[in-house]
Amino acid sequence: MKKIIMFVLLLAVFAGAKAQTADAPSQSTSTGSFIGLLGGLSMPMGNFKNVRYYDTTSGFAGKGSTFGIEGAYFFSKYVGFGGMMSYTSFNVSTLGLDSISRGYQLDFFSDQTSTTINSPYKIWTLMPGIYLRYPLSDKLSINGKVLAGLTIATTPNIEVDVWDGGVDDGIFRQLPCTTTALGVVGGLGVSYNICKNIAVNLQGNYFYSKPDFFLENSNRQVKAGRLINEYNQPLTFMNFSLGLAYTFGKK
Amino acid sequence: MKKLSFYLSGIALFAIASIILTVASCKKSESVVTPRLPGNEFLTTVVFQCINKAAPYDTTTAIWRQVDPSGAAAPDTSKALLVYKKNSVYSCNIYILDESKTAATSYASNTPYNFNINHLASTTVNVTPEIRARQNYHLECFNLTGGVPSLLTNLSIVRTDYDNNTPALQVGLNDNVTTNNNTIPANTNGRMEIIQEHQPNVKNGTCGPGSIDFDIFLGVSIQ
Repeated sequence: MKKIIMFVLLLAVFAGAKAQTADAPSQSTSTGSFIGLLGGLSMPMGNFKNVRYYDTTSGFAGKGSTFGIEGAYFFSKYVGFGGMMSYTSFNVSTLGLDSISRGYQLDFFSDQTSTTINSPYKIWTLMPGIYLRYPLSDKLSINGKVLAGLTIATTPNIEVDVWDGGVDDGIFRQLPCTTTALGVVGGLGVSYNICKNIAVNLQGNYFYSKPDFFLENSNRQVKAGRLINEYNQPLTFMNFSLGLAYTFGKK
Repeated sequence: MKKLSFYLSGIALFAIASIILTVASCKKSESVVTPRLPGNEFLTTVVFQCINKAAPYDTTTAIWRQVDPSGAAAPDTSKALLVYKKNSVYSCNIYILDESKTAATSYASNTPYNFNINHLASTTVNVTPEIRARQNYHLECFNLTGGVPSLLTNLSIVRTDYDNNTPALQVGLNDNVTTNNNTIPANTNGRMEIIQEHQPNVKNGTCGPGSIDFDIFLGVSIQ
């Protein structure tokens, strides 16, 4: 899979270069319409990143990464319509993992707990919306967007193994839960046309969604320790991404 | 200019590819092991106090004590003796103390009525409320052995307190002890074993799962 991704990306580089050598004029004649790839870092915000064990709103999310594809058709110089499909994942933060493990160790008064996160938060988005563009020069423009659409989010798989007196008291789990909700994205960025049809996009996107997760827990034998059956908190985060886009020229 | 554009394209794609590969490799699990914090209280002393329901002046109290936290020294069992009257029902409580700082003496005299949980020495910590707070994964277990005639057939223990689990399970810090019509002399080696089981995430109402907080023996006679 990794090799395929690398191959496709390299192919895109050579295709871009080939197109560049074929087209003599280097000045951009972009209409603003584009289709491209983006990837970058994601920073969780609010309750989503809180690491307080005894706070049932805590999401324990750490820094994540995002990638996606987006495109827009500009029907005027400044305004267009487009969409973005993206995938973002967040590991549980180191502080969050420590907090979970220490919390259960204290709540069960055990000699040791071993906590494992087997899968991260996963968030898929498919969002159409309005794209805005303000050209500063032939090559450079400031861009904005407001999108709204579907979010498919999955919670992590958390496993806690409790040990006491040299005895393994078993593993209990908070199982992953996937749910769909509406979400919105607001973003700002700059776009620079490095050649006639290729632009580099640098952008920051704010993401908001509030899925209602109904969580299943397995092997919880006693009423002790943090037990979350429903998590209905905003998933908010900022994406900072770098992207490469094919821009469409004027007819 | 064309070369610059080409290099910039390459850098941008390399950055995206790196991020995608990072994402693709994010399936690694994260794990942490958290040991117990130092400074927890010790369980040095177990007091089993029983009060005759029909005659509250009839009280018997056994005290088992091991002040040495390492467990190297032999426990003090000089007061670990219960004396019941036949044909009686006793309401009993288990008290768990930490006397590791200074062993108390005010309640441990030979007079059995001396013990009062509300009059502990200032250096003694009553751990019982903590066990009560953690009752959902603690269970007191009792075994009866020895005695002539057999202690097992002439004395019964029933736990009377329940935890907050669903369904509620017995705890055993409060118990009823019932004796029948037979006497059992003290020199016939009748013994009551009390085991406090720590059953985090495995408590199911039975003795066995989990680990052991303490395991003590008290001598028993019925007069």
